[in-house]
Amino acid sequence: MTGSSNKASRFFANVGNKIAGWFRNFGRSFVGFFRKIPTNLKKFGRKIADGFVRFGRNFAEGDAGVRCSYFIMGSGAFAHGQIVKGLGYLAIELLFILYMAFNGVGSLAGLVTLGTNFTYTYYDVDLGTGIEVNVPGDNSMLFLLYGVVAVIVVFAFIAVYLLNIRSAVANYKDSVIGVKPSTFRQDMQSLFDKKFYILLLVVAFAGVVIFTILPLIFMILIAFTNYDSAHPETSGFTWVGFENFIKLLGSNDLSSTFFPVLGWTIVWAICATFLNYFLGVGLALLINSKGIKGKKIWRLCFVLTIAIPQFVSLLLMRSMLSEFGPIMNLLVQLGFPRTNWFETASSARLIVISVNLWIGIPYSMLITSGILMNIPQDLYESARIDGAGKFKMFRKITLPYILFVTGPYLITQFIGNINNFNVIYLLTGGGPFGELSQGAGSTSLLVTWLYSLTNDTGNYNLASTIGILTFIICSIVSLITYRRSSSTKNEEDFQ
Amino acid sequence: MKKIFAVTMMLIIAFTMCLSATGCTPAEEGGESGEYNLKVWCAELDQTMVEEMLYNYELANPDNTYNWTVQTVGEDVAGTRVISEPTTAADVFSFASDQLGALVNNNAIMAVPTQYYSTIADEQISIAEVAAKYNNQYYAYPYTYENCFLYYNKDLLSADQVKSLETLISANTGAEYNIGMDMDDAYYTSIFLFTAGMELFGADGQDVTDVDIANEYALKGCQYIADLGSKAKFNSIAEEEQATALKNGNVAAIISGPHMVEQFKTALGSKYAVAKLPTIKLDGKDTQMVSFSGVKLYGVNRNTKYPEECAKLAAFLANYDNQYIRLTDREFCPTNLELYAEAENSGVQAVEVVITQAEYTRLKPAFTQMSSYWTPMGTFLGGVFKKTQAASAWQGQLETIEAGLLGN
Repeated sequence: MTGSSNKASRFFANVGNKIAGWFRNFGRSFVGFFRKIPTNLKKFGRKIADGFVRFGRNFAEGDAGVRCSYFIMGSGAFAHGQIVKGLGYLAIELLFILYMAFNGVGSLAGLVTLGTNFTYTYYDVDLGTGIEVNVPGDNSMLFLLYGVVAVIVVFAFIAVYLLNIRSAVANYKDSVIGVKPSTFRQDMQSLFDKKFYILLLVVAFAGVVIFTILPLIFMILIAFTNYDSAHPETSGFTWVGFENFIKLLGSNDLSSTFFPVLGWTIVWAICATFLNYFLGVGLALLINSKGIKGKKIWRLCFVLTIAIPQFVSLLLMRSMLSEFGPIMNLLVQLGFPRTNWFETASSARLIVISVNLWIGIPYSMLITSGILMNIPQDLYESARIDGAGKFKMFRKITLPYILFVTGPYLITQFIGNINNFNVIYLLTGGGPFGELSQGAGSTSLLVTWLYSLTNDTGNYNLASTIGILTFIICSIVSLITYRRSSSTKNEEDFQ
Repeated sequence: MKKIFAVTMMLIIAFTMCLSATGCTPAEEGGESGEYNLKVWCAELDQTMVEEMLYNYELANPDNTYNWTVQTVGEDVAGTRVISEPTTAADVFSFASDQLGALVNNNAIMAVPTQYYSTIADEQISIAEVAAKYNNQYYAYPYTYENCFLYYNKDLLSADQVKSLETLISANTGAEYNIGMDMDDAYYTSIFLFTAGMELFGADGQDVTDVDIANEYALKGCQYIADLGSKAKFNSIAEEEQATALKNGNVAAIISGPHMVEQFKTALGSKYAVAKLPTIKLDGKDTQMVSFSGVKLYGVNRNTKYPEECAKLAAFLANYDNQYIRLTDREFCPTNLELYAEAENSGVQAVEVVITQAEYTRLKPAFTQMSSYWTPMGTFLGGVFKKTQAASAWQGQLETIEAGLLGN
């Protein structure tokens, strides 16, 4: 009797130690992550300083071509007979100057002011019809957009400018040691040969800048403005600094909505990720274990839920679970009182988590089934010969295998669940409402709240701020857990 | 060979990217006079009907060319959307009268040109004329009037039984619930407070300084709501559940507005019937229930490129002929005086009942302060009904809401 209770207490102490250890390690890497930031920043700063030093030294040590290229782009190329290349640089410089003179400077100034003339209206008495005449003012949104474009153009120009100096220096150094500078034809040929990757990537890179980076900067900047329904683009919005962040994180009406929503988002992400994962693993183990007949049929049954589009299952579930839906009707006939599960926070939360199981388990089951079938059987055989029990074999062979392969999957799932818009939006729409203000309900995630802030109430600035905060949370969590996962640490171990 | 292929692919990608980029730029605005690109917002169920009206408008103006974009945006949110996205919102939009204050305060709606004043001042019923006005200036073109009434299943309830809420609740219908309504929505729960005598922004809802909602009348209404909460045959049913509940015979009657006509008609089929709101017993006296009423109007976006044409179009969409189409097609109660008089005996049930109920209503105030009424009041009265609000806390809660309405 005492022996077994001793064993149990030792087991629990062991588990407790493990959990404590995990948290200790997590804490350590968390602190480590932030402790490394200053060092990294210092390194970055040193690199920039080095760049400036080189910039000055090149001017001092270079020949006339190099020095001229600091002012007239392409001089370095002209000096060594590269006419076409030089003309290209010169053209870029002229175009840039023209753009800045006619448009760029105005755009940059607009980025600072975000518009100064505001919309006004007056009655046109002369028209006789009594029509109100609307004189549109500056459109702050366009000012912001053109400003961002101008900044990107300036940065691109600086890059080309530095490239020009670098090629001038290279030409100079080549001439010193007697190497002939490359001709235009050679340059073009190298683009098809040694530098073929540049030729291929240039379009992709331009696409990323125009369609991803530019909108991203634009959206991020909105978080620092007062662009909301009270300050739409036509009546002009302006910069407010970190006011939106303070509003969300400080103590007021907004933060009393933000923190509960954040809390539920994290609870939801943990429940949705780990329940789906472990139940999926359990199901896979069950189906995969010896003595189960018709494994393929069982797998098929569960995979069928994937065959139905997710939104269809979700909408079906919603109407099935509703107050006058079939499930409630059945319960009423069995003598239970009729209740609206979507009306109270706790039951609505339970519903979204359990319906999400229906949608999520088949995926993790599929993935783990694949892994289970690939674990070499001789490992189990030798373990059995050494006298290991079933539980021990699971803990020492199966689980490490599964965790090793699915670690990154688990992290992406967690992040995906923080931003799981579909399940919440289609099942509850964020409701029940009432406990929280600002358009958020008891099952609202940060993303669904963000959606209602942009689509229903037009609070673009707050939505953007929430987006940024969500990104910060997601990136910190994934960076730390990913660096700690065994897939990264022991990458070479897996055969 | 491989390299040439790769470069070709890259060029194709670049080309399609340029194409899609140019495809995104907005279509050329109608340069020559007489060509109009107009965006119109209407409710989802109205889309076909509105498209037909626009076609008629084209026929009436053969000299001009029109490129229509009809989008469905609910009348309850159209105003908010026009305020928050002024440049991409519709030129002409349909909205509910209680958003007018916000639209005016945010410079989002164009005032009605003087030439259309008379169509509003002289040709509409008085409540519609009031709803079209804000700060003594006409801003929109009214086209339908609505309030709350009772839908019931005439197999389960007789016309006599629906005259009083007490009789209705005690009737032996065989249904799970005799009557249901959305008790989480202040639009419906305020009925009990109004019936008990509460006033919101004065008797006609037009006096912004007159906020007295934390009084004995409101408390009496709360008491009635709390009593309803303990009646087994009365239940709160969310709006999206109501049609199913009626169809399956779970509930025999529902209190709602004309926007549910189509759904309930399909749900009940031949058992469909409507009546004005029943009476409730207050202080031993049968008192007629008083509901909110509202007006739907067409407004013109202040940022439109074609103010004159849009005003003309909005006035057209709200004119006698189009109100008549709405009356016959969708059972919308007209606001045109002449048509309203005809509709009283038109045989269109939902409209007749709206007109009967009309004298027991309060127009939804258009003041922006109302944004601090709907949600707090809805949550509070929902709590009263569910008994999560103790009777001793009612006065305090009402005072908080009152302070919110006064802007404190």
